[in-house]
Amino acid sequence: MTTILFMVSVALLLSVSFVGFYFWALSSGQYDDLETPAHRMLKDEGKKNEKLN
Amino acid sequence: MSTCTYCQSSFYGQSLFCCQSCKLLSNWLEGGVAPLNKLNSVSAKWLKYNQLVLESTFNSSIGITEKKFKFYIGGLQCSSCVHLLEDFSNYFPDVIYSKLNYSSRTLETTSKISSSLGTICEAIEQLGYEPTPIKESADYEMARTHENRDDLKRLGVAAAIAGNLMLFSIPVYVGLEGPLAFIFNWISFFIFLPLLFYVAVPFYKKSWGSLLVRRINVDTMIVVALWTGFALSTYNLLQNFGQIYFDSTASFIFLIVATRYWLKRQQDKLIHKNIFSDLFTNEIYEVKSEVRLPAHTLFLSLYQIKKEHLLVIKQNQLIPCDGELISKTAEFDLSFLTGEAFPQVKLRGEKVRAGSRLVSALCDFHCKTEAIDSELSQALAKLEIEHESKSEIQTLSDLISHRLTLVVFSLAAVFFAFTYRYLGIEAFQRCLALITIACPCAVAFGTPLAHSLGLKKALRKGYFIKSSAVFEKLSHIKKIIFDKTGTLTLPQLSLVEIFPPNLCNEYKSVILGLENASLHPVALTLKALWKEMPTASIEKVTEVAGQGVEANYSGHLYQLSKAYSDEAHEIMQVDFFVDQLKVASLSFEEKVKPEAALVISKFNQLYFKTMMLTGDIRHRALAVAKSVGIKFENVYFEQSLISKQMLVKKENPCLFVGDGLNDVAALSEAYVSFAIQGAFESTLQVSDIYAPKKNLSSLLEIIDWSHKIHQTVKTNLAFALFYNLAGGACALLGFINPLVAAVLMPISSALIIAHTTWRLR
Repeated sequence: MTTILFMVSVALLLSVSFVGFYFWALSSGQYDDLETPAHRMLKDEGKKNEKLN
Repeated sequence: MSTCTYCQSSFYGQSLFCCQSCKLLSNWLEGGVAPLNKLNSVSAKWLKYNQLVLESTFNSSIGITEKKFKFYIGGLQCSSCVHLLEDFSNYFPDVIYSKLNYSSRTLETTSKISSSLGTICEAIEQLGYEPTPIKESADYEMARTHENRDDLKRLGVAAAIAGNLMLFSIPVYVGLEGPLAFIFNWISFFIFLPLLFYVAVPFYKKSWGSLLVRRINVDTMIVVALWTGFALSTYNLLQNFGQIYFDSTASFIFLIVATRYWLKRQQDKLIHKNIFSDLFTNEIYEVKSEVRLPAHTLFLSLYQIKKEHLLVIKQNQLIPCDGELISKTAEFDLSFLTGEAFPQVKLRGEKVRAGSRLVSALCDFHCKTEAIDSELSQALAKLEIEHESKSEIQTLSDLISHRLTLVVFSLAAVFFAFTYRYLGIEAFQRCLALITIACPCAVAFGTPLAHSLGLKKALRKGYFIKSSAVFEKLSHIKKIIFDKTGTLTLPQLSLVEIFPPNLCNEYKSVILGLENASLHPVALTLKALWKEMPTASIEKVTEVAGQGVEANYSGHLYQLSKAYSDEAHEIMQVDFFVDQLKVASLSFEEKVKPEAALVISKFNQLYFKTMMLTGDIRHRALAVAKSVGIKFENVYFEQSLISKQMLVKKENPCLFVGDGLNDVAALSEAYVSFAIQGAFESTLQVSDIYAPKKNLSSLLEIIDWSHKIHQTVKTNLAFALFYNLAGGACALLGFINPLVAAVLMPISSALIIAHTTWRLR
């Protein structure tokens, strides 16, 4: 019983923290543009930096 | 299909790279020059943007150390475009930071205070894109972002609640009892509260708004189902007896919130705000002098133009406000205002309306109003209001939800009143089972789902549809009214006769030279027809407005002048003179689009009443009607803008098919309007469906698609009605308790989702 209650508390805390993270991601604008980041992540930083230096 | 050598994406074409960015980046990485190694001089096109007065209207920075500009970027193709434009500062030191939004095709730049807008535009253009500086209201942008985030917050919370409630409900469903079941149920109660007091707030607002005008909408029913589920579950929880329905109610609300958000995102992509400013987005005007200031030249954007300004209007530029012509003569294309294909000549002192396009060379223009006060701006503003109010029609879904709600609640109330004496609390439970199972999931999310899938697929096919209500409205249509010029006929003229037929190439070359700079329909037709022919390089061509053009070339005087317009036969004749001696004549006429007759015959076979509406004279109108197969009694000719609008109003519900903003009044008045060309956002604002790059056959396709969507919605509704009827009867007879009803409700939802996605796959 105690173990279950402990696990339930942890599950609830995790849920609340996930919702909290989701709100933080929203307010920092991470969901404002859902298309560009998918392209941005493909950028080859190594090649570019090598070239710039 | 080819594969891009650099980014590996597939594209149509035979080249090695899918876009300019891939080519530039590939060359650079292979040891070539940087994408923007050296900025060439700024072209005249962008130079005017460097003027401080004009630049300040686009600069959104409030600081004094930097400038912030926003651009609409044309020509984005793949990930390389994102990389190239976001690395802009590396190639162009004036820019400190740049951020691209691929979804909205916009680029935001922060640049040094010493930078200038025109130079940045030039740099972007040299990278291979088409920049358009834009100025958007910061408040509007902020409000949109805030609204989107708010919707996503509610959606996220609804998802979290529905998911977590399932976790705590499943053990109870499979037989958990005792103190642990009691604790789990209380946890479910507390998890449910944010749904009730946060997620459901928009439902309360919409429901209240509807009740204020004495109507019940689907939100009212959702609110009642939500609160009934909550009240009975809480009552059972407090009594520690009976079933708990928090999980099924939460799942139901989550599905509704999710489908509504999806539909809203689909529609948001197509909705814009101001038609008038959209129309003049790229127009920059040269102000010659101001009445109270010493003469000087400056460039202004649309809303900076004041009354009494003297403007120098360039060829192909739109007149921004109402005023008078100062030059001796000028020729204007009024097709935007009147639909008339042939340009009109205006003389000094004559009134010229905003929206007229200058066809001849430069002219001086005296502003008598500000842009916002022009007749065109006022008319468009009025139309926007009318168009918004017109969309509030009662759709089939509204009707069903309204009646179903009334029937279900009345039935539950009557049942409870008559059976409470005999059944006690059981009567309440049966009523609750009825309300739960009869909740209109087909209306609440089956219809939005069908509509959003319909919009998405239509967009993929090249149709920009303003609102999903169009699908339902199209199914009511039995009359189709066509505009003539540009809709049933081709926008360009057709050369029907050359006399002498064997006109020598030398003369053709001279004619092309005379017409080289002209935008007159005759010039455009000849340039398209004789595109293989060399053009004589004639330096100075004099335009005689309303008459034609003339020039001295190789020791001869060449003239090209309009002879007469045979209106009865749609013929326009142009004569060619050498040293004032007529050597040739060219005859032009409007041609009917090749597919027009077939499309109209198909509509006639399907028992649609086809009609034609035009500002043209009787002879031309009847000739076109005859060639496409429209009955003469259904042809309305010599109509003004107002009479066109009145006629469409009289014929409603009808589908009006026009070729853009020259039919603005009729498009706006029609029950459903279909535009096949015109400026994108402004045309979309006044028309329900906009299909650029499509021909008239697309009408058949979109009507067929609308019928399919409408059929899907109707099948969903019929299924839901049958399901609710059978379930409701079982509930009232006591065969179904509220728990079973709560389980059956999501099953019907799942069936509706599966049916909708299968039908519209």
